[in-house]
Amino acid sequence: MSGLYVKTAWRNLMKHKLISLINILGLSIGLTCSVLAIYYAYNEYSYESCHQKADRISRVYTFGNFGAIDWLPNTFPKVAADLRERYPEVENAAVCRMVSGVVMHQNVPVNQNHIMVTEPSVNDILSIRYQAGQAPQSGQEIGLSRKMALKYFGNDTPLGQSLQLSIWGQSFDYTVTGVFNDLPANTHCQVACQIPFNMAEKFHFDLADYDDADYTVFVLARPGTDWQAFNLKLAADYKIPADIQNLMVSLVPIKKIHFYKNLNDNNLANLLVLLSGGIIALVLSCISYINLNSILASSRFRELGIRKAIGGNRRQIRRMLLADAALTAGISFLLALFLSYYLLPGFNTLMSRELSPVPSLEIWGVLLILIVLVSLISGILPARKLNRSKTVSLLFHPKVHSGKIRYGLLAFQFVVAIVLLQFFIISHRQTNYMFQADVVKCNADNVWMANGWYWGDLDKVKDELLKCPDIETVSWGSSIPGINMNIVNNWKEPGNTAMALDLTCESDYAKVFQIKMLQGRYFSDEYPADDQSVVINSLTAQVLGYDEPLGKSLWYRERTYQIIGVIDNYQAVPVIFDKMPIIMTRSEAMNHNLFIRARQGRMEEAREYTTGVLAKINPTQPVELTTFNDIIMDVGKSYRATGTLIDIFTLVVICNAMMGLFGLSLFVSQFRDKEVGIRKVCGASGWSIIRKLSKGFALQLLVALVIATPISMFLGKGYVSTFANHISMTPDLFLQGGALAFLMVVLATGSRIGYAATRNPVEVLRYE
Amino acid sequence: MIQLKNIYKYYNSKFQRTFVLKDVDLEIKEGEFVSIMGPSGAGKSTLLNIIGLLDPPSEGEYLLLDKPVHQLKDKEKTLYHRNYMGFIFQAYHLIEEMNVYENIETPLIYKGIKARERKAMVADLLDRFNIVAKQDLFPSQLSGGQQQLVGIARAIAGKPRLLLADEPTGNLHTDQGKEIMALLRKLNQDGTTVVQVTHNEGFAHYGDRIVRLVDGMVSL
Repeated sequence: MSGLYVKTAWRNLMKHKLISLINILGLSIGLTCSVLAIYYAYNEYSYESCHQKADRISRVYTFGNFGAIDWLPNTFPKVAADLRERYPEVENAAVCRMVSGVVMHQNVPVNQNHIMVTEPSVNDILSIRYQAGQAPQSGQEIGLSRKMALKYFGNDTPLGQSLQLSIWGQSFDYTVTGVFNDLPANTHCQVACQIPFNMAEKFHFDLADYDDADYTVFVLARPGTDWQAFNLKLAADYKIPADIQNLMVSLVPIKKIHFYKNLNDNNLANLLVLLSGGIIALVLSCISYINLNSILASSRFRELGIRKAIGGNRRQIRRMLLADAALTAGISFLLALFLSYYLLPGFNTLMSRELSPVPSLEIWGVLLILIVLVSLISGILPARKLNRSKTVSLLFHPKVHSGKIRYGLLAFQFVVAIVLLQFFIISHRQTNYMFQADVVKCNADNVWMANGWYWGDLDKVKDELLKCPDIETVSWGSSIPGINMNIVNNWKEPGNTAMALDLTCESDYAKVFQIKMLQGRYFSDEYPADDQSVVINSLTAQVLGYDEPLGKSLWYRERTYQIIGVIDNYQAVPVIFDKMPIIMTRSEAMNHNLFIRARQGRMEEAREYTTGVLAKINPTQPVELTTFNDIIMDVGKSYRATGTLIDIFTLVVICNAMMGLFGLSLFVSQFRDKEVGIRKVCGASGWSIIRKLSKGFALQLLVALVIATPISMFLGKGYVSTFANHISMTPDLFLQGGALAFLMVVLATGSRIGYAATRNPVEVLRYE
Repeated sequence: MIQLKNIYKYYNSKFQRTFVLKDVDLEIKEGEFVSIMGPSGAGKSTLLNIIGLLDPPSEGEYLLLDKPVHQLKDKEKTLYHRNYMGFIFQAYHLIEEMNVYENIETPLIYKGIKARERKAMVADLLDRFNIVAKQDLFPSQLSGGQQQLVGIARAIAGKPRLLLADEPTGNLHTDQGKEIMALLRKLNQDGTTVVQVTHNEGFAHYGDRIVRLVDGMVSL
């Protein structure tokens, strides 16, 4: 019997090829979104499960007034020892510091990330398991991950071999003592190699102080420890001797880190966007499917009447209609799996994940439930409706019902599509706004950047580089505008807790980034006394209460400086955080970053020349030039992914809405073709027919626009208010959304309605 | 077998009630072949639908096999359709998505007959109606007469005691019509009660008795 149901469903599908194709495509797009969302969600919730004691491990976060932010995912190195010694709840604690370095491999310098300088006890906390040899204990020893061992030693045994590694300019030969298993991608503790902590002092790490909060501390709690209670105890008990307002530490269980505060990642938001987007896309494609399926079922009225007359009962007919829905859903599901498989690499790149294309058993289970639910939801409505109809009506007066539910669902689809379109316009305008030069007040286009430590005296490098006609300016400084800036509180007056951004830079820094000088001048080689001077931004002058700041003094880093210039309040790109006071001092001839501004359209030539010069100066160091845009893209990758996801879901919803509308217009033109034919014979013009057939759609669009606009206004306001600098909500934003929705309706329905209006009435009426 | 007592069928609109059947009394005995005749709009098909439990009467009593059936629930009606009745329609009403074999098999599936037995029964019918060669064809690939043959085969597949035919020859030319009527006569002779609605005086006489309807009433 079930076989016959499927066979009939298949024949029915083939009979209405176009609508079936729309159904299958629409549903498979929705299902693909859901499948990817499920893959992603499963991966996100599995974070840190590779650590055997994951439930008992936490990471120490530091909270306090750090200016634009009030928390850090790291802490001071001494915290590990303090927690270990003072609190019985702590079974073990280990401090480590993640750094980058350069490995000399076959006389070629290779950049190496994820180097963990650590106490050996970290391996008792995290599940870093040595499969050969042992962890480095002391001296110049190193433990490698399998991947890193393979990278540098190939198939040779790495144990006992030597590896030249340079960290922060300190180069040593390390002896490999062991190889540990690679940690999977779904952990935040990515480790390529381990170096013992007694090397730390050679890199000038000060482990016994509370000055530098760049260390990672992992804590293993005793079984049964209540994190919340322990954190309350720490907040009350544990005071850190540092001049930072509201300073305290808190333990965050590692299983929560992925969704918790993570400076560069937007994981929770991405998961929420993906899950809600997946659900919305699926619900809307189901709505489209239900709409079109109920239309399709209308064409089977007579068949159902016959089935009832020859003894088919309600249950059997319901099963038959459900088989129809299940077949469409099943084909769509297979197509969705196929699409997911091919889209997964791109999705992985977008989300910076390594999701496997082969789902686990649990995922299969969830997918199976999903497909059953979709079949039931999309099959039950027409089944219920048709089962309620009288046999005699089905047999002798088959008539398509006006379908209040159908129009209700279509209106809902319109509302969601318009909200998304309007929100899409708002979010894109906000993004553009955040990159606008007059908002950011600096310009990093045409600027190359390199690490500034490895090329010796940068004055000489500058002279060399400026010989190239493609290079406009060269400078250096401790940070890039808005990125990796140092936050300090030792300014204004002793005991000050308000934070400012601290920056040391060379005299042409403002020129490289085209930052406007409002008053006074910048540092200059002509004034040797500039070593005692500072340049501030106008916000600093405002905070200090100086109307005429030039020549006035500023207490900063335990001494007094003279203010020689005031610059504009430039900000990071994109401007996510609020403005902060900035204090600039003159840099020595070496600093973190070297900046090279190329002339317009000469970026490549400038890059080639600079690479040649730097490689000649220091052949042991890889020359890596990046643009500001690359850095922004990298830092904000996760945030950009959120934006891209919203765009994709908007597109999916619009696609689905358009397919649904096309199906409905097909239905309207087909089921009313006789009426249209008669009207035309009676003298109706093509335009009046178009008006007649489009009236319903236009009315629904208007109603949906009225419902959707306040919703998008509310959402848009909430969204832009999360940015310190934001656009204002103007009516044109919403009108543009409405206009796009109108365009969507015209595109989707125009062809069918136009065809119905221009068709020769004889073609329709000759068979009547 | 069939007893209709004071059957009325009407439709209420806003200001008036339109009668289709008025006070119809009719008795049909088991084994009879009754033809219902009358002009268009006389209520012939409505009467047949009431007899076939496809449409309930607005008023009156209907006894089928001595049991009142005018207020049956859907579930009980389905049992009558499966076990006692077969329908033949003017427009054949075959299921377009099913081939000849499957169309004939469907009522047997609904009746719960096992696959092996079903196969034998369908094969027997195909043989009897001489349509074995057509068993894999779909309705759209058959002529009107062939479709009606399949329709009759499907109607009698469940071995009904009552066969209801609504203008079974309405869409056929005379020769095909005669064949179909001969077939109905044969089925009647084999013991099946047949009630047909027809416009054709000649075909009406294939039955034992003619019931004439005029303006919803049985004309005496």
